[in-house]
Amino acid sequence: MEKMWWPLRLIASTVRDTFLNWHLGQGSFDIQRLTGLILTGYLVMHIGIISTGLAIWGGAETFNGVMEAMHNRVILVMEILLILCVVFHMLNGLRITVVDFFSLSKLQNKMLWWTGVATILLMLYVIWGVLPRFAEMAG
Amino acid sequence: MTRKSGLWPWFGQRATGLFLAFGLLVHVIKIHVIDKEVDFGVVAGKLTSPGWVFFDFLLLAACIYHGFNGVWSIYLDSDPEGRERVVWSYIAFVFGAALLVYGSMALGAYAKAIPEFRFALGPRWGGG
Repeated sequence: MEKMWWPLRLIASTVRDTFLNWHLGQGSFDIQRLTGLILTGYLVMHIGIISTGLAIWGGAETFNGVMEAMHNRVILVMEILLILCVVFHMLNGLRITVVDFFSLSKLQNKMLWWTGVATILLMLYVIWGVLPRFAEMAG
Repeated sequence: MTRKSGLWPWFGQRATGLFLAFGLLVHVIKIHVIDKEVDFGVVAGKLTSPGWVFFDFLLLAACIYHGFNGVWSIYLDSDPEGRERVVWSYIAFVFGAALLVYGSMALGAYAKAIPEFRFALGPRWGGG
């Protein structure tokens, strides 16, 4: 374990902690980290693509062409999954912040359930909102 | 091995997190609910407004700090060796700073059309 490459060592210790001592807080910790990594990866891509389009190519034709290429169902589903990561990471992060600043550790387990319910409700709203767009798109 | 440090990164992560909870909501609602179609004219048009350029810059800086600080804290959990840790800290810092500059280039590209901004930049950019 000590001699492993650090990303592998991290994954191994996370898996060990998660399954040897399973509780909801450990699960939310893991998911917060996983969604954080996904969102940071997306952030780098997002800034890279938008900035290249606006500042380097600088033309309407190329920019709109790239945007048009993204108008399909596969990308839309990936965007909905991205929103799922954002919504959970945001609500869980707010929970952690509130618990940290107002010494609410007694409430944190209950608040995790509220976080889950709020995530599901917000996602239902998002899916309801994009359904018309999904319907008019080609596969 | 325990290390001194951690209070300011901890506070910064929460401060930027709170700002992003509000800022990302504004960002997504502005683009996907108010503007609806994301095309060049709409995006470039938005960036000729000083308020949006300022807001977008704050959002850009807060996002990069929050993301990189978060990944960094995951890395620290692997308890890296001193020298390796220093090398990675420089790589992460340079990459984050480069991303901030690259993102700002897009924000600045259309700000040239803002009269007050052009004035501040001087005659080279067509201002006074």
